[in-house]
Amino acid sequence: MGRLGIRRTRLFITVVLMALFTLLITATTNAQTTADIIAKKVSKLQAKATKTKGIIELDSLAFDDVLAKPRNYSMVVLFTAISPEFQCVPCKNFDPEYRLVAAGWSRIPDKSQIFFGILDFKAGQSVFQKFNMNSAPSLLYFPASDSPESSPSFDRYDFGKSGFQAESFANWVNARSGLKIDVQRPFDFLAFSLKIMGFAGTVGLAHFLYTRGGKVIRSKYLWAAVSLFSIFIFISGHMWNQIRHPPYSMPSRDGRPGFIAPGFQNQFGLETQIVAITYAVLCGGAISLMSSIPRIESPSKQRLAVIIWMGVITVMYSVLILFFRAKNPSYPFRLLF
Amino acid sequence: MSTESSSTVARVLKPTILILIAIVAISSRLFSIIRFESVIHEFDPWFNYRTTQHLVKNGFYDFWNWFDEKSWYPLGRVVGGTVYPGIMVTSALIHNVLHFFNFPVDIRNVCVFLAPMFSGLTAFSAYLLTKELKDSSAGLLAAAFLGVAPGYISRSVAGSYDNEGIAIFLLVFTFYLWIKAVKTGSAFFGLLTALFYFYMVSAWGGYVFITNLVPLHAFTLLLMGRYSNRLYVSYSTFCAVGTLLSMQIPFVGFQPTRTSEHMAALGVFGLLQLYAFAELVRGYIPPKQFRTLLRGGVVAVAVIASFGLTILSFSGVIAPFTGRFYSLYDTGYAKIHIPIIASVSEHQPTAWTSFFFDLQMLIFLFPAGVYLCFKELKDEHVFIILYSVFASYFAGVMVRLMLTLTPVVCVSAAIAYSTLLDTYLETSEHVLASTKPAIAAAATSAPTVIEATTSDSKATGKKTAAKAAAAAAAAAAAKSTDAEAKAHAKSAASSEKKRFPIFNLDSRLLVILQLTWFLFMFAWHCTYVTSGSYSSPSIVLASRQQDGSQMIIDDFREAYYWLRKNTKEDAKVMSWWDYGYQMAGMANVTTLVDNNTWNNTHIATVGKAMSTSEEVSYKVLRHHDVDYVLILFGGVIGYSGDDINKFLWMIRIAEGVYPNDVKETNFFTPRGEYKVDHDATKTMRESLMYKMSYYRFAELYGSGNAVDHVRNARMPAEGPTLSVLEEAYTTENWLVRIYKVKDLDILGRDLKDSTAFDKGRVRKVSSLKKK
Amino acid sequence: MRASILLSTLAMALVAQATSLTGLRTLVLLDTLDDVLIYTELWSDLEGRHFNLTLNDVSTPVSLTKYDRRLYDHLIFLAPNMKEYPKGMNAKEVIGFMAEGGNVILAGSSELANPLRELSREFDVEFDNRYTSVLDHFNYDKELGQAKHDTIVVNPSSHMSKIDAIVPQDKLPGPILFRGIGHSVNPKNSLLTPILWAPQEAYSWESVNLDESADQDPLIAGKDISLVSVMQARNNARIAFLGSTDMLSDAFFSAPAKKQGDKETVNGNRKFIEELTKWTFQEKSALDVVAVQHHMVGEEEAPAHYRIKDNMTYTISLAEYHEGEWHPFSADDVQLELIMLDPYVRKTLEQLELNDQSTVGTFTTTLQLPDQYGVFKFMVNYKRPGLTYIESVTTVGIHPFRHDQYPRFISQAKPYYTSAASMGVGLLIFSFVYLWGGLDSSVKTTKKA
Repeated sequence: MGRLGIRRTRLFITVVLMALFTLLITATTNAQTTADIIAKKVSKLQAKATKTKGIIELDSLAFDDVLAKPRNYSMVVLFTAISPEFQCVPCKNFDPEYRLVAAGWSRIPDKSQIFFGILDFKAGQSVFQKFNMNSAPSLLYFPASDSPESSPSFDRYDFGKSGFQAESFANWVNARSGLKIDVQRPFDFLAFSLKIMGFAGTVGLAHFLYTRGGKVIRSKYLWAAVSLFSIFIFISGHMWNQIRHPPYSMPSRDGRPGFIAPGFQNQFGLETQIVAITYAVLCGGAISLMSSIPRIESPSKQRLAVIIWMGVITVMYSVLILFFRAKNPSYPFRLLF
Repeated sequence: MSTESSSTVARVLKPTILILIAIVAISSRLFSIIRFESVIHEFDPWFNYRTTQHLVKNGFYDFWNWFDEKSWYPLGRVVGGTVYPGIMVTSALIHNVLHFFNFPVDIRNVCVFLAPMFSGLTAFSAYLLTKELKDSSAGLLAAAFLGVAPGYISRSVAGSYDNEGIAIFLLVFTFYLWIKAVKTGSAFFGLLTALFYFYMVSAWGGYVFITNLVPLHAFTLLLMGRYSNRLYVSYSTFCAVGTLLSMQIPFVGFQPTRTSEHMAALGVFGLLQLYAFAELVRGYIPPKQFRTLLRGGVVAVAVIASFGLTILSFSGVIAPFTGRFYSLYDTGYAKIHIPIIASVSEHQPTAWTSFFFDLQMLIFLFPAGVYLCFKELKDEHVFIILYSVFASYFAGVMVRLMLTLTPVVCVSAAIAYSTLLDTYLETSEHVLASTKPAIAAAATSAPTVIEATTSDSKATGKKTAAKAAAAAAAAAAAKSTDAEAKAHAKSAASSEKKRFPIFNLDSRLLVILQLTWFLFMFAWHCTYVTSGSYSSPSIVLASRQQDGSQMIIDDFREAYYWLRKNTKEDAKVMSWWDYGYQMAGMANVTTLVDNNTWNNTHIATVGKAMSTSEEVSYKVLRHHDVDYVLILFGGVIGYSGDDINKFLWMIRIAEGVYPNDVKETNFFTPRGEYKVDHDATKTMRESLMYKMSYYRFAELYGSGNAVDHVRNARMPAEGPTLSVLEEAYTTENWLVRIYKVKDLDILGRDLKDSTAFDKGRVRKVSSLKKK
Repeated sequence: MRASILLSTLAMALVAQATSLTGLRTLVLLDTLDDVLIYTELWSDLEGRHFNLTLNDVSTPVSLTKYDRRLYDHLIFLAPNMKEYPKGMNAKEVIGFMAEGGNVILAGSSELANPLRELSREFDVEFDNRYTSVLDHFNYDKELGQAKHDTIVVNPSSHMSKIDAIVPQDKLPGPILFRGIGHSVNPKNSLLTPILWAPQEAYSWESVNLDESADQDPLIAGKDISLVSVMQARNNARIAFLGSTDMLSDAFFSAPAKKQGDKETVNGNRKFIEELTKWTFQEKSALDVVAVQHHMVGEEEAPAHYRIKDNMTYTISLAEYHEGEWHPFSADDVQLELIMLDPYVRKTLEQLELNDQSTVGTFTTTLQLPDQYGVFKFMVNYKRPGLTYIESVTTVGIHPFRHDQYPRFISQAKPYYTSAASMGVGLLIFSFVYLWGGLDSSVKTTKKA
């Protein structure tokens, strides 16, 4: 029993001592090295940021250097492909918004907590591969990490959900970094002047209508035109376009004409317009058959008009059905072709 | 032909044709029964059916106060206060009447055949409505169109026992009464309108369409300076009585006084009163003072009204628009804010193909009809115009609102069509053109008439309809050879420039025959669409095999029957909300969530249980006393509507409430794809839904070439393992899979260990020693 | 090989009344049948309590269950050297046997072999390495433990759990002699309860060839060494783990306990084992829910469902089993919970006072239901160490008001009533005046002018 006790205590003490010692040494050394490394990096970054309105252009090397751990600042990196040959439209759209946020942050004197970097595809292909990104723009947030061996933890900004607005992006960053970045859009004189003119225009129009435009408002032909137009637009699936934002048309491939979208529940902008026009022609034909033909005095002219209009209606209707068959191949009916 | 003979012919023909149309309308909705069987269709109908059974069994008051303990466990659902009781009460009434006369009809058959029966009535009310707008021949055409238009059939085939089945009839009939009231200005018709409006409110949430359209009509008439005592009387009666009545439905309650959807009605009501008062005052004071008085009054009223409204809406007395309704205006709204609404398929926007699919030739005759309404712009035509524009907007935003568009399309298309026929059949202009045309008219009309009158029984589906329609037109035309035609001609002559008859017989023939041909095509189209697309009760699936023979997939009922027979009667079954109604109706088990999506949190909880790892979701399952979990899995037969495809919605809805437990992004691969095969994310592979779907799936194929036929993905050779659930039942085609939730281990081990032990694993030296 | 079949039948003939709640068929597994003679006292005790024992050695094939029915009610492992289970038996079988409600006593020794170790691991009980035993250089017994200090004297008052439901302290005449292997229990497993543990100075050590293993620490020491511990499974099947087969032997039953330093006393082994077996074999501390009643205040039978804010009475009557018959159970900590996802009400039930002919303990309370409709669970969840778990759930729906249960005329609405009435009256008067009152056209014209 006693023997056991002694042995245990001795062991314990030695262990503790060693532990303390090693701890001491490592701590001191670490402190010196990492601390000033970080300090250097931060100052460098700050210098860069101040020069370029808060934006730090990165390439593969700079990226690794900036994101090397440990670091006491967090980093937002925009992976983009701004150069024209990629024709990345969203990249172009989002770029100013991003710069807006960065600028908003760079107004603050001490901007050492967070930095905004841009990595263009041309500059940093290797990084793109490393994060196996095949879509631009994408936006990553790297939080500050004091521990060198922690896994590469980052957070991805979801454009689909949060949208391309600078404000929402700023909120996203604030939520993660706990900072407060406010977006101040530069005053847009064009939009303002446009608003002014629009307002004036409406006022003028209202006044005109109030004074002598009464006839215009009360003319039922105007209203008929308006409502018929809207009806045509609606029944040709315009609201679908409003909500789903399909492409206007697509380059034709495998023989199918490009303006018809594949799939029954899918459509292109051009396609709907064609359909709307077809409807309009057919409807117009019907109207003229019932109201304008009986006004023709000479029998022969009348017969000609009837034949023409009937032909137009039949052809257009067959075209419409053809269209529909293109969307729904199993549709069995046809008129002319 | 002489006056009285033709009129007697017409007097005989009209009812006959109407009856024929009704028969056609009903019989064309019976495809589903002929194909499958007399069964209640997809989802909501099962709830209506269940409640109807309850109503029939326990009487009205018990139904009225029914607290359903078997749904939304453990919250329960106050059924009486959260349903539109119209359809249940209707069918219960029919059932009781039949039984009173000793016709022992099963309530199920009443429910199955309710919608077709009402479609006949709908056709009739379409006739009445159009008769008010043009004449009886157009009415007959409208009836025929509406009787067979796929856009309406889609929701009213035999077995789809849903509110819309009767609501469309009520919609059309209410509008008819309203127009009648406006025309006659009689309080009686206003009252009738209110009564049927009440019926509509009790039947369908779509009554909001009426509450907004009728006031809009009145308002427009005011703007057009068409204020009249007729309008005042009819609208005041309708609005006062109708609002009061509608508040008697518990589900509606005080909404008419509070929510913005109903404000239009009240506002226009107030406006009318003011206007009437002004009119009254005008009669007593000189115009000059009156003008100043009017100005002041208008300004004052406007200020007060706007002020009051803002205060009320800010203080929350007037609720903002409800989500579903709001998503009609701001079309992007639902997608972002209310996934539960956006997830419903019938809330998607409408592509042009759907319009054509549902209305074929009517879709382009419809604007022509609207144009004609503009030409003779009476009050009722104004109504039709408004109806057309707004209905087509709403139909464009939501697929299910094609239903409200279809009637007006049929009506105005009928107007256009019959105008065409009139033009090309009419014989007697003021210039008595040679009798050839008359003969021509007779020639064209007579055969069709004969056909129509004789060919009701033998002909299938719509052919009769088309012929009936043609016959109707022809008959009308034949009749219109005198008085009416004269009147018409006179009005035309007086209203516009000089009109001539169609001189040549050949051009008449060309047009008439062509139009008749269009009618036939329309009929064929309707038959094709109805039989092909709209007649499958989605609880029984039919698929074609390679040899072309039809295979009936009946897995749903198989699974529900298993549940009904093999679980204790108070078993709680968790599933995604789509199947709640069916489970309650067919399996008679307690469900956690169902298609009445009134409690988003509860649904999100289920979503969480489905989309988290076993450990997390086991807590949820235990907490809600879940005994079984039911999922749909189409990977074997390639049924695309299964739960893995709905999974993203579950995740989104769950994330809305439990953002810390569920994250949508974790279910997407770094490349932003939604994968289930080898490169599915860890979160995906650990989620309960994934495990339940693919549990033992690979064994089905063996040697690691399991292929999911929906997402055609090659699955890993070794499938997921389950420890907190055990497979209870899987249907023939693996379409439905039911899992039993295990109890806690009796020895207090966690279930992973106990399952491993049962599989024969021996625990190695545990860490207990090393202390 | 039925060793004492005759004895047991004799006992059965003598007394027909059962003492164990779950049955009397007991299977005893021994290393060899010669060991029968070691435990004769135990046999006689058990048979004195009407158990009919089947004494098997590990070589005889045996099956515990058939068609998911138990063939035995209790199982005693007295075979520490068992290298593998008898034919037709394995760990899964044993646990299945418990899942069917069978009770088990598992006695080990320092030779405890693998199968039983693995079995006990499933219960979160970890026996120390083979050939170790619990040593104590202070509390060893003078006679039995003289040589190796491996027979230790455990003082119940300080080293035994205070749970009277299992082994009541005051029943024990003296300290308990223990010679065998120690085990440690997983404190996270709430079903598991240590009954007897080693003194502070004890440690678990290889009992054979002490000296070679001189410089390695003991794996467990002091109070961490459990000597006897029990578990009541969630289905109320009970199992007891003993580190020593010797403490059941005749030798230990009879031997006096004598620590060095204090005087010789009679040991408590026999009594301890008796109480332990009584508990394990469900001869005592078994509770049962006799009846659950709930009804509205002032009514008798339970309604189909309640209404929010009803006043209702809940009554549950419990009975406790010991000495072969049911007695009223008495406690002051039985609670009722009204649960819908979360507990809405939690209330302690008070017990009606017992009189001499009362056979059950009746606990009752009266409460007002919450103002919340839904499907509620009336739950009595009474789980105390040593006692059968009580989890009585009654599911009742609480409904909202019916349409005709709201007040019909409320004072706030008086203005509306009056206005409506006045309107009606006004209409009558107006129409009367208009029809028969004397305002004719001439009056109108004058007014016009």
